[in-house]
Amino acid sequence: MISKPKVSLKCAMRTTLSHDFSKVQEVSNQAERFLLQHGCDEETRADLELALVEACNNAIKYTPRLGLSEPVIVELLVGRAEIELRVTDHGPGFCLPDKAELPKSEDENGRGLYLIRRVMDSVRYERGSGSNVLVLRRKRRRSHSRELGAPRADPP
Amino acid sequence: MKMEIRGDTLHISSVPRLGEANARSFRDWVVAQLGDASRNVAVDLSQTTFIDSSGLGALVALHKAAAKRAGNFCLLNPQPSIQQILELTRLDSFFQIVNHRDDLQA
Repeated sequence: MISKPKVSLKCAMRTTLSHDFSKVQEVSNQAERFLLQHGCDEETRADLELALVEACNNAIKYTPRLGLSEPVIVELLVGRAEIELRVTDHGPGFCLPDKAELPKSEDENGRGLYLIRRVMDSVRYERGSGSNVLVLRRKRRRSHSRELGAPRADPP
Repeated sequence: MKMEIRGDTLHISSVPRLGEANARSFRDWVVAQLGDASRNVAVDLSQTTFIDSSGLGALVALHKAAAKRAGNFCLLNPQPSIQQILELTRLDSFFQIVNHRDDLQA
């Protein structure tokens, strides 16, 4: 069952995205303006942009033609302490691995989920009947440094 | 995007974004420009403000295309936000990264 956004995150942006990679930047720009309006710092905005683009690209890439009539839905909820990004697709969904392994340097693919996990604090994928949502959360001010190492595990 | 041939190096610059929407065409276009005369590739990232996993994949592909021709591949002057993504994916140690154009020894 797909969860509802957290009620403490009151400032929201909601938009739809057609299955066209060239449209992702428009949504990304819209999100950037929204985050700026709500006082998010540059690092937070850059991390959210990367996570949003990767999540939208995946949602477009893995939706079969049958699901193309339903657009991808992008929601951004900003609270005082944290931000939630929700990307809803209408494809068959996928199994989110517990860990996102970094591929070998010479591999050309497979870094999307790894990057999402590195720039966000928690990653969850909820599969429902007819739609699925990738729920990404990030604190507005990160207390920890972004050192290299194993990707963080999702909090329980 | 701009392309210039300097000796045996193909020099690519003015790439504002490198993502899913243009990564494949960027890669194919650069590979198509590689000929007998140019075997090295230098991508100037000083004007690049965004890169995602597809953009990184295109750079890896160009690295391999240059290596196949016994040439070098290097990145020039990445902005801090791009450098950070290269470090997050540990590609900073895979690619040759040059931070001053004059230092390029292609």
